[in-house]
Amino acid sequence: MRILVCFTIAPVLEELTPNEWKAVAQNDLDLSFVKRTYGFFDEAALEQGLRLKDSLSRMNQKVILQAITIDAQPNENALSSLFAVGYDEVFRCAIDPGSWREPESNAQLLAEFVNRQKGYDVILMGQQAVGLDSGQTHWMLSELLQIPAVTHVSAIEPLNNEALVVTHGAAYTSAVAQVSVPIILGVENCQHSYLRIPTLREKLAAKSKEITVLPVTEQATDTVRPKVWYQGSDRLGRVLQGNTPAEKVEQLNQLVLKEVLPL
Amino acid sequence: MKVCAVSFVESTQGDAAAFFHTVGNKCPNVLGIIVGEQLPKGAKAYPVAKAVHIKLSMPMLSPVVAALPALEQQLVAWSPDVILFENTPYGKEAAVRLAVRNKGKVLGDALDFRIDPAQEKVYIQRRIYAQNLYAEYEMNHFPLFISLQVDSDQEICSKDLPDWQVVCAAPQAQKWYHQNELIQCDDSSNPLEHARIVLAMGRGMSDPHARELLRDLAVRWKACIGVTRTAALSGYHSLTDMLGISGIRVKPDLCIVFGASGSMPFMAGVEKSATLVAINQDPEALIMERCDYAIVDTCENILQELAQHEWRDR
Repeated sequence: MRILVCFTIAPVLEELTPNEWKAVAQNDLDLSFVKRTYGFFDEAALEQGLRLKDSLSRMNQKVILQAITIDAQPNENALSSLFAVGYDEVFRCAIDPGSWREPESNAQLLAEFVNRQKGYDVILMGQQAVGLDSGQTHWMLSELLQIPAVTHVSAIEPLNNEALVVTHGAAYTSAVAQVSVPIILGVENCQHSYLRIPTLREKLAAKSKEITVLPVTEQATDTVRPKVWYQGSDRLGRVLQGNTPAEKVEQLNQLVLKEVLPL
Repeated sequence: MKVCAVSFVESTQGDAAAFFHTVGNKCPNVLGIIVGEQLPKGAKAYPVAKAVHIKLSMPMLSPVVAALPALEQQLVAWSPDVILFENTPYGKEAAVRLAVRNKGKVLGDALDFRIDPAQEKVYIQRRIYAQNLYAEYEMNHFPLFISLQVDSDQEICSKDLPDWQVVCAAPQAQKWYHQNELIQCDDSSNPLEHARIVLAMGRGMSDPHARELLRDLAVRWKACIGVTRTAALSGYHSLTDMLGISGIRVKPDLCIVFGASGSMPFMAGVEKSATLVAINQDPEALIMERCDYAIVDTCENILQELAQHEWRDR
């Protein structure tokens, strides 16, 4: 079985303060000062790819597991670690730094890559990437490749070499479906959402493997760069003072709980 | 500009009435399309100029793919410039697939839109960068497909309209979709969605004793428990009760958040709480300025105090 995982390396946004966000909004969305790591749903997809490979290997099925990202930056550490945890090949589409990416252009690039590679049985990707937060690439790829897509996937189990059983959310319901390959799976929150950590031995064994960098020449597309701004919270954030937990809770009682929790 | 509004009527979510009234109040002569087994109650009062019901039984693995041929037929007949979908998973998927098929542009999770017919432009607002920033797009590429979030609390005005035209769409699974089948489906709604009181736990609730106290308190207060993504992935509570952009968005009278930093993807799940209280050891945590009331202390201290208070046996 041939498996491809599409992933992103994204800025870690959780630690940015409101003032930093204001600066980012005024500064052409420059997030170059922020630490980057695997996008959180993409990390789950990468781990699901490995788990699928493990399960198929136990069934004595031959598996080729590859990963691809679209990025101007090399991100060598993050990409090389994928070899150490079990990826057979890692590709990076080297786009122009500063180019404004929309889901359409990413889906187009991925579709061209998949066709050049003569197709995959399973294509995994995170449900939504950090940035434009569109969550559209899997459906676009599904249309471009004429391959079905199942989204909001939280678990994947192989049935045999041609079918998988996937647990997914469909319109906020939880469903289990049997799907045939080829298939595109949009991965969301899974029980195993973090990528496994390679051992030193695995790292050393993967040292000689090289990331394949694919040059990208794209035609100009009709992209729309939005006007962006930061808007703070309307809530006041009043800190309830007190020397002891009892004093603080008593204030909370007087201000809120007394109304909401009538005795 | 011709505008079309499409809603997939699903069992557990969405608000077709609020959606059609939002669109109808902004644009005259809207073509309304409802996809689903039955028309929702009150559908005849939706402010649309023409109404089509694409009758499709759900759930199935992909009701969207099955409905697309009938939807495309309607779009060919009406040739709208702007096609709005209710921002549900089905609506979002249909918007994307139709945009690709019709070489249009697509934007999802729109908070608001404004049409400027003189300039032939559509302005769309949405949030980007994990809900941290607002963005306004100026669009002049048509057809334009938008999935629109609506506020279900808005005022709805009635208007008598002609009967809906029913178009029956037999499931038309396309060749590339045919071998997939649904084995099991659970469409029961999560009580969190309608909870009056929500107690949410974040990564700071690492102490098992504190989690036990919170569970006891939830029973006494008849509250529901929610959880942040990191706390769920740490095994503190079930992923099915996850709050946030990729989980459940609650609207309780009171939400108390214990030990969460207040990242925007999580805050999107609790921002509609009438009163939001944060308990956190770190006075610099982002949630402290995104809540109504904040207490700087350990979660366990506060939970112990809450557990001892006299309302425990109300």
